[in-house]
Amino acid sequence: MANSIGIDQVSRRFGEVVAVDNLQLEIKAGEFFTLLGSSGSGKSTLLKMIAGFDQPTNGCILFDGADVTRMPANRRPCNTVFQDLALFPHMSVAQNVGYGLRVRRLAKSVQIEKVRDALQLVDLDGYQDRDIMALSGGQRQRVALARSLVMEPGILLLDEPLTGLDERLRQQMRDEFGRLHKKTAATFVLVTHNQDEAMSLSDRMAIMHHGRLVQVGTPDEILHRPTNEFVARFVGLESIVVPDRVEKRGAGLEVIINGRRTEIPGFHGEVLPEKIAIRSDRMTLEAGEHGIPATLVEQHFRGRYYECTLAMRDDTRLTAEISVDAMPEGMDTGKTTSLGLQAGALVPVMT
Amino acid sequence: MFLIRRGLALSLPGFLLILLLGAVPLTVILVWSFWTWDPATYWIKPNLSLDAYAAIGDAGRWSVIVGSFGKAFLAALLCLLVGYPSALAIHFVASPRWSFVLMAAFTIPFFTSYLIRAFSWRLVLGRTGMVNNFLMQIGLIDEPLDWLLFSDFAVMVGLIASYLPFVIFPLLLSLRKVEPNFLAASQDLGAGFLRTLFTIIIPLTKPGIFAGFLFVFIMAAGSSTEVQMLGGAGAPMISIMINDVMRVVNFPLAFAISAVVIVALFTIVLAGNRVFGLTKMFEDFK
Repeated sequence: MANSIGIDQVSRRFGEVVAVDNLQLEIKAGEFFTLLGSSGSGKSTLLKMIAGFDQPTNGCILFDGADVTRMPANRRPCNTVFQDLALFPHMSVAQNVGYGLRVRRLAKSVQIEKVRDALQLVDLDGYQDRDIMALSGGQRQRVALARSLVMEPGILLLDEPLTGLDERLRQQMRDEFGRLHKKTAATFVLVTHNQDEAMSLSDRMAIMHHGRLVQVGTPDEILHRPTNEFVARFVGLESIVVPDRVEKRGAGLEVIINGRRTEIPGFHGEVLPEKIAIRSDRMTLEAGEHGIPATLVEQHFRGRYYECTLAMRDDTRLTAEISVDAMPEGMDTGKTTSLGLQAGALVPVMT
Repeated sequence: MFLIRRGLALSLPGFLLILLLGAVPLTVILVWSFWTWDPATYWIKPNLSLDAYAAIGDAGRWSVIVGSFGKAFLAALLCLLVGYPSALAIHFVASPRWSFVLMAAFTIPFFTSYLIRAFSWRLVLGRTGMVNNFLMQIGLIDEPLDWLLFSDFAVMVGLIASYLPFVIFPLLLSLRKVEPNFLAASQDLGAGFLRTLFTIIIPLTKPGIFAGFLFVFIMAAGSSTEVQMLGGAGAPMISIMINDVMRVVNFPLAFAISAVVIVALFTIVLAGNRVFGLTKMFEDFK
């Protein structure tokens, strides 16, 4: 049922601009794969080429190993949920969801049944005769999903489908995507600029920048072994320091940051990392002197925690999330404190 | 409350203008159409009678009215057939620069007088005109085609050439409702171009189609120049007929014909609005 996708040396140029630059990627059948990147990174262009709305300047797109590069979008076994949903405003919910089935000329009774099943899948059974314009944002989102899923696609493409929604709905729909992926067993490809979405949904993900893949891996790999500073920053590791010294020690690394010796367990690579990222949720502020000395530059109350900006001795800036209970008594901007590191605080960044 | 009052004050001059320029002449037409005309004295009597309306039935005037509407209907239909693909091309295919050039190309002929424009078709369609010359040169015909000029065909060409932009602009306006992603989504769900055209694009542009049709239909129904310049003998239009009647100062009959035409047009507009939702086209301006 699910198709695998091969991206074989694909480039897409718009005049002088290179949107996708000689990309090589294999997306496995049935996998939830996310293309993560900021706007202009080429992720949407790549998705359009997979869907068939755009053709590569060079290279091939393969579904299950078969070349589909020149196959028009209406023949491909994939369906797209568009960023603006693109629901047909002159049709009811059932007419929208059943559109593809009408194109396939299925029997009326089969259409009705499949539309109901698809609407059931997204929790909207009974909304068949509603006007699209009369639905809420979340409901429209579900209709768009149902319209694609009713086609039983081997590949479902999701083009930033959560951008228009408020935070609560985003989370709801995010869980919905996960549930639907398990249920339909199709290959899901999500394009997003939101790292939380990518991290929580993907089996594997790719980080795109300037039309190239910077890193491909499981969310865990990318979060704990970012290949470079760009990836680290993109996945929310904002505090990046250059250590005084890094040494291999057993099955881990010994790192010295601002004179303080600490260890990173479970590092197996041969090449030593050039930089170290410090996770903002694993830092503590303490009285005393045994941590890394740092000055509190700024602090913002964020509800459950304080977002603190700290300056180390060499003026490297760090961002720490200190929970309200863990904030030391009398701490204030301008004061020097000692920065403690909890387990898992340090992430090696290769370059 | 303050804003509403100010809005009323601002719209007052507009209302007054419409009343003065539109409603007053219409009322005059309506009132005078019930007066009587004495053919012996050319004198108009301000009484209340239906004589003028009865006179519409004489001298084949009905057939002129019906014939004019028929020609106008055909012209509007043909304008749509030519204009719709052009509007699609301008909206979806052309770059912003090209769509500007194309729209200008449709508009610039309007900078010349419509008399000249109609006349220029004589040079194209006449016995020694461009079309006949060309067809004879490539050997397709030996004798010049006579039906090209001073015929219903020539009138239709003139009408379409004159009123094509009036169908394209409302179509362009309504095409803005068709998001490019609607076409992508339709294709994504398996539809080819024709299916997308008939199930997505045309239904969404119905108000524009009707508005364009209406513009051309009304103007073509009231046209006289194209018919006078390009039409054959014995093919009068409403406006020519009214002109003839006015020449003998039979104002009541002229106004009665006008009143009938106006009522007919209003009926078409209102019925069309029911079916096609003309007002929808202007919704996004609110």
